[in-house]
Amino acid sequence: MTGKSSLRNLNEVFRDEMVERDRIAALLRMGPLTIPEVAARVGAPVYETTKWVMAMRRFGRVRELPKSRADDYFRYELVEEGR
Amino acid sequence: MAAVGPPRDYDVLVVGAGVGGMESALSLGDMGFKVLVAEKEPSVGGRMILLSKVFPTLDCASCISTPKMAAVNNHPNVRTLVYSEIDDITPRPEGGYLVHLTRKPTFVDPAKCTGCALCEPACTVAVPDEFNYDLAARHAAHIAFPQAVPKKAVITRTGTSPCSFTCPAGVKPHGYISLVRAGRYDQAFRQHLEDAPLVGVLSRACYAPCEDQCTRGELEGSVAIRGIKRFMADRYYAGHLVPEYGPPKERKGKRVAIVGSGPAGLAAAFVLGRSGYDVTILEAEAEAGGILRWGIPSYRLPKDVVARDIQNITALGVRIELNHRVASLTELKARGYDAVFVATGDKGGRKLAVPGEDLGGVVDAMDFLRSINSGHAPDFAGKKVVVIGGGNVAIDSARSALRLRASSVRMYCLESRAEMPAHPWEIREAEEEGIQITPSWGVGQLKGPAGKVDGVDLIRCTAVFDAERRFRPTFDRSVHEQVDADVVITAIGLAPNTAGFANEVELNRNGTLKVHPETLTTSVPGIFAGGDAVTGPSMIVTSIGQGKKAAFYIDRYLSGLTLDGLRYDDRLPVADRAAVAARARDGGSHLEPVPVLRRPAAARVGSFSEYEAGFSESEARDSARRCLDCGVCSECRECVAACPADAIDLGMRARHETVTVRSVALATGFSPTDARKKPAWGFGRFPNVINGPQMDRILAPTRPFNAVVRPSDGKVPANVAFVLCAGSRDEQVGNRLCSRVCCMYSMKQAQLLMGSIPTADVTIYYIDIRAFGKGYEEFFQQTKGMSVSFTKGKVSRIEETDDQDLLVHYEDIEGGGGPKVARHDLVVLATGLLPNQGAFRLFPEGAPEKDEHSYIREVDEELEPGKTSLDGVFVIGSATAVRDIPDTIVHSEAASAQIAAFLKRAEAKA
Repeated sequence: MTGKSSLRNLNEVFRDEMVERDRIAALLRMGPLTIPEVAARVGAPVYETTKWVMAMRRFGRVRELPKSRADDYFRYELVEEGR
Repeated sequence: MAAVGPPRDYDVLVVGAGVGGMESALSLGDMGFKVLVAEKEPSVGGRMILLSKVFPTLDCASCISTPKMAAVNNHPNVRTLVYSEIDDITPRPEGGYLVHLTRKPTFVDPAKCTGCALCEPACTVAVPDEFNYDLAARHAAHIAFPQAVPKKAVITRTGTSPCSFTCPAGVKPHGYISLVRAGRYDQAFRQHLEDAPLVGVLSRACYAPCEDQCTRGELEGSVAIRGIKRFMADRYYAGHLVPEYGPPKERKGKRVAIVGSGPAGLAAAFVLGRSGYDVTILEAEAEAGGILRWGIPSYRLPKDVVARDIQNITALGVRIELNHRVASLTELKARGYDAVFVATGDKGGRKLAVPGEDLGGVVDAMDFLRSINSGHAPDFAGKKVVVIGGGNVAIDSARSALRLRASSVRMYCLESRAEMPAHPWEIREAEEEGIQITPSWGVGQLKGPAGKVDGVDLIRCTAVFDAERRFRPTFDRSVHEQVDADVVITAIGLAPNTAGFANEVELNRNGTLKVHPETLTTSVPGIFAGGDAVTGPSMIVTSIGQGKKAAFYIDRYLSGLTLDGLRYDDRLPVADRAAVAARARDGGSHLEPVPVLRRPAAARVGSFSEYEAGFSESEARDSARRCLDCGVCSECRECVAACPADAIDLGMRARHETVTVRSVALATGFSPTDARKKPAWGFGRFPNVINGPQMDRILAPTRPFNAVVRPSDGKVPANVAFVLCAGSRDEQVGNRLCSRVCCMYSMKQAQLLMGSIPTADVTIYYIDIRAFGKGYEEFFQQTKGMSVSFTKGKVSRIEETDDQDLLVHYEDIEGGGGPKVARHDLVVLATGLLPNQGAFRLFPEGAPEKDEHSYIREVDEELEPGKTSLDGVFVIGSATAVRDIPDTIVHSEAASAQIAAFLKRAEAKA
């Protein structure tokens, strides 16, 4: 078993967040999603989507919702500017 | 041996402000010694401040570190220099050491920065965050970490990006590209306007030397910088039919006359108008714009774009007097102008100097282009047109002739195809349109028996330049050819429009105005000159650069400031293209350039309408995302706008200091082992294989993620493995020593993990557990008591499943032996510690001795801890051997005592 990962140049992944965050924000405007759900909708690798969502979180554009212990994933919601 | 003489600037230089360096600095400072601490990072605290908690007490690492960090930064006897590198340390003949150090520019005034971090989200460049061990992104403008001391922003700049470095007008393409990439289109336009006016013009007609220098050009092809500019200009102008600003309120009370409204004159007017000068442009023609209005065909540069660009200048209060031909420059000064800028450009074409040049049907290229742009295009329908020349004006003329329905258009030029001054893509597009280009021919004569040209005698040109690359064409007159022509357009070069001023200011032999090359002052005080009138024919962007530069010096002249010895050019050295390209090749995607679409040749020759299509929004952003951020900071200046304290200073430069010290304490710490050296474990290939420092960041209160989640998909891991000795006791990774801390920090992480995710299964794969310190064995037992599974077994390899779980292959030593496989969500490699070799490079005249493991050798570990082979040079903490935090602190105190004794002994001797 060789796995699915093919990790892109990290600088490139982080650079792309500048573009992808608008697409992610547009998605999250429709409601909170987990990272795999976001990745599926934007058609991007989940690993890279994780980097983008976490970058958005770092700079205050998304925040996580509380989750139950049984859930594997957090859901993230958009923090609209001015809120 | 270097003897210690009288007191120096400092008693002790401490190199490195990790926990050991801080501890020593504080102890020595408390003893009354003057201490200088040099730390290469933007904050003190070293690696300890990045930890979650410390073992075995599980005290908060930040809670222990931050008081020391604050103390060392504020101690009256300690001067702490962060973001500073020691260049070299050399012994002084009279004793002690001479130290050269560089204070790296942070580009943020620390006295003004309040640490608010508003620059961070404003910044448009993201890079891996070294303080989170690359788990997350940080921005070029950043504060190292939340508890940084001093808590000041730093902007990462490794140089000026090649595109920005090369622009003659000082435009910073990297800046507006990063803004377009971030979707901030209006800011992108404004950023360009801050650097240079005529954004719309440049978006169409610039030859874009920036694209030639783009590092992407070494990969799949340059970023379409001009295309991106056009997108942002068109979008901005669509939303801003008129400028969004007016004249500046603060006026200088001085008048400047600008002669000529071409790109140089307009650029100077823009800068001076923005600065509050009363600027009047005196333009001989009926409309402003010079070559932009009259010379460049509208299929390349629509005139409404020129007009809208000029509005950005007149909005500043700049007046343009049309139909005003200036007869005397000195008279302008007499009329009350405090300074004059001459930017008259080119007046027209040079002569062929061959028989028949005065025949009817022979026209100068600039006259021809002007006739079209003024709405008086000649009727070329069905005519055979010959264009003489191989430059861009010749190409413009030929393509324009074709658009006037000439039956054929042929170009002849002296140069070979490779030597033609026209840009290759222009030649290609001209040929696509059906223009026949024939290089290496000169004109013998123009023929026409009835006073009107009907043909051209051509002679073979054998060389254009002599051995010194001077223009000295030679011909083989035995090889000749005759072509029919109804019209001959000559485009063999432009002459400067300066003759009228020959009696007032000095001219060069070629007719250009003679100016000081830096200040652009002419022979008459207060009269400056620039653009093509000075340089000869050049690019628009070069003329804009000249106008900006003239404005800079005119401002200084009118402010009564010196013009001498200034550095107008504020660029950093150009960023290392080769290094950037190499970095991009390492796992980078293949990203083909986004093409700029053009109408097919057959369709475009039918009119003078623009044939190049602009980018859509998605095309512009996709093109912008190809930018490699060569210099890291893009100079978009969003941080400048965001900073409420006006602290950003992009003009900051490195400062060099020289100090003398009586002793040196090397607290340079350790280097973590590189888990990539064990490829079978998948670090760097599998996102869920992380190293120990990364796990500490994930567990820390200031972690990069919102919780303990795995990097591949944000899942909360239910089954985590720790692999011990993953960088220690292993010749394969270049470290045969035990790193002493990995067992304990892994157990610490396991405990913290179980505190965070109580239901998680945690397995530690170990060879043997080394819990040797005070309370360590108890900590081990406590960890076992928390149901952490300890599996004695060497991990041979790790594989990844389709869902990015990990299969750990190990030899099960205690469970019956033999190879086994276990599945985990997340694997943490307990990477080890290596000696930091940086300290040895600081001593060009002889470094302290190394021990057999390449650590700095203590000459007598038991009796004189910290003493190295160099007199007055001491070593602290893990720079001499792997140590955990308590041992580092103990060692630093012991070394401090040795340093104090050394200094006191020396004082006694003196």
